[in-house]
Amino acid sequence: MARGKRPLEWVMAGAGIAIAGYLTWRAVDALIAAFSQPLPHDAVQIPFAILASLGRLTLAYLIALAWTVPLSIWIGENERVARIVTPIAEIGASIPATALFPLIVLFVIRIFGGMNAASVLLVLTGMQWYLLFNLIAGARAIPQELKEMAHSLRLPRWRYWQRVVLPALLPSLLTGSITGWGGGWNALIVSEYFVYNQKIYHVLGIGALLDRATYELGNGVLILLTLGAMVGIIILLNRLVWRRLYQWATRRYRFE
Amino acid sequence: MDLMRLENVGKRFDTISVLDGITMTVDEGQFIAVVGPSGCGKSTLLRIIAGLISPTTGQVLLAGRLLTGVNPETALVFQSFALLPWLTVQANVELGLEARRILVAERRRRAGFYIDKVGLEGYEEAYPRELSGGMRQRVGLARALAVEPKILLMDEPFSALDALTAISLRELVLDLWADPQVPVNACIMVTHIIEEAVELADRVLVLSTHPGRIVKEVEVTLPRPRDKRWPEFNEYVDQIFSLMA
Ligand SMILES: Nc1ncnc2c1ncn2[C@@H]1O[C@H](COP(=O)(O)OP(=O)(O)OP(=O)(O)O)[C@@H](O)[C@H]1O
Ligand SMILES: [Mg+2]
Repeated sequence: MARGKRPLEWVMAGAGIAIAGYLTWRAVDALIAAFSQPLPHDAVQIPFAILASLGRLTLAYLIALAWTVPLSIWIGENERVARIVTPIAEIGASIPATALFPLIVLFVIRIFGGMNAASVLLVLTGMQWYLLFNLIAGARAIPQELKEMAHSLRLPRWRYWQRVVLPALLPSLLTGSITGWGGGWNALIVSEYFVYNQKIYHVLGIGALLDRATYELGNGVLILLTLGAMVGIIILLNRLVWRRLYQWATRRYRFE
Repeated sequence: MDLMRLENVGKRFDTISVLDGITMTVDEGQFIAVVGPSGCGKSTLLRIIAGLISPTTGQVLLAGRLLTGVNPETALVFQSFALLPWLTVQANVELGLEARRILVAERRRRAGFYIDKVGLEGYEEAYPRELSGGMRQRVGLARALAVEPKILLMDEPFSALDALTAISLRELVLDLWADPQVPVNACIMVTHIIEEAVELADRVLVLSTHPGRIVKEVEVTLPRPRDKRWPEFNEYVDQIFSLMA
């Protein structure tokens, strides 16, 4: 293919490489300059901030599981409930989580007096719908003959959940979890830091740290470090936890 | 003596009458086949007998008593096998025994017994995905037999299998049916293959469509094993075919 190229293209390619090289050199130069100064002292917070944020995400995840799993099982067994709940859930899911935030924060801070609760609640709104919709789809995809089989063998309800429904839901639970955590991280960034009436509310967390580095401190190095840490932990979680769980679940818990 | 009796059973879904005026008995020691055109309500009838759905009209009597809820004397074999992919053969077969609070040791023994009976000895720890279609349906049979039902119900049990596998599964069902160690007293099989009905059944119920009614009951008095090349065999097939056409 390269033989067919005309001189103009060669010139353009060469110019492109030159420009890219120059920009890279400038960026590296700037980074070296920035990082050769002492690290911003807020950088020591990063590990703790990550842990605090992970705690919030986990708590929101557990709350989301606690209501979406039973509800989707119920919906899967009952066509009438499905017809009532599905449109309500669609409305809930279509409201952007971040739009709700001012309301949630004012409300929760008034009642519980804590920014932490508000933050978890917002992460929850960014997370739960992904779980719900995937689980509902999973519950409704359980083959009719499996339900009849369990019914005619007179499996008690809890045995039926244990042996049939929960394993059948595992792949959709994991798809929902992966997308739900994505939504959760997304909501996290705005959920830990909130300015209202010229007063700043924030908690210890990687999202808050990023916001502070951006809005309060204007520190480029801190922004880069925080972002790097966050991206790193997300990739690590995906690689080490979710991907493996998902592969295992789709291998073992899928109907062919 | 009849194990079960359906009296004037009808079933409607919304406004559509699927079954109408079904009166039949399930006699001890009888193998019954139900044939009829697609969509005539064969599966619906089988599920009413299993107590999975209740009839709109008429009644189902089990040993003279009105049946309400799941029929405890039946077990089902499904067209698509209905195995749980995440359980081993052994665990799939034990499923119905688990529900009956049978002790673990007895459960193991009984499941093992029926796994051997269907010719799957050595496959106890295999998963359904590792088995061929024919072997999967053997698991389906073992699971149904393990709860020792008086009446075994089968809904097109061989129609998802290739022709050769179906032949060997029919032979297996006949062997089990003749086996004094297998305590099944009656068998009801839904099929749309007339030859299959004539090969296996003592009595063939021919259903019509819209609504499903019993057109005729044909008694098949040929000795087993039956051969498709016998002229009498083909006379039965022709007779049933003309009833359906
Ligand atoms: N739960 C249901 N709700 C509404 N209609 C139903 C339901 N179950 C079955 N039907 C209808 O009842 C009719 C009979 O269904 P059924 O499955 O019993 O027929 P079948 O004889 O087993 O057909 P096939 O040979 O295709 O298996 C069909 O027209 C079907 O669409
Ligand atoms: Mg059918």
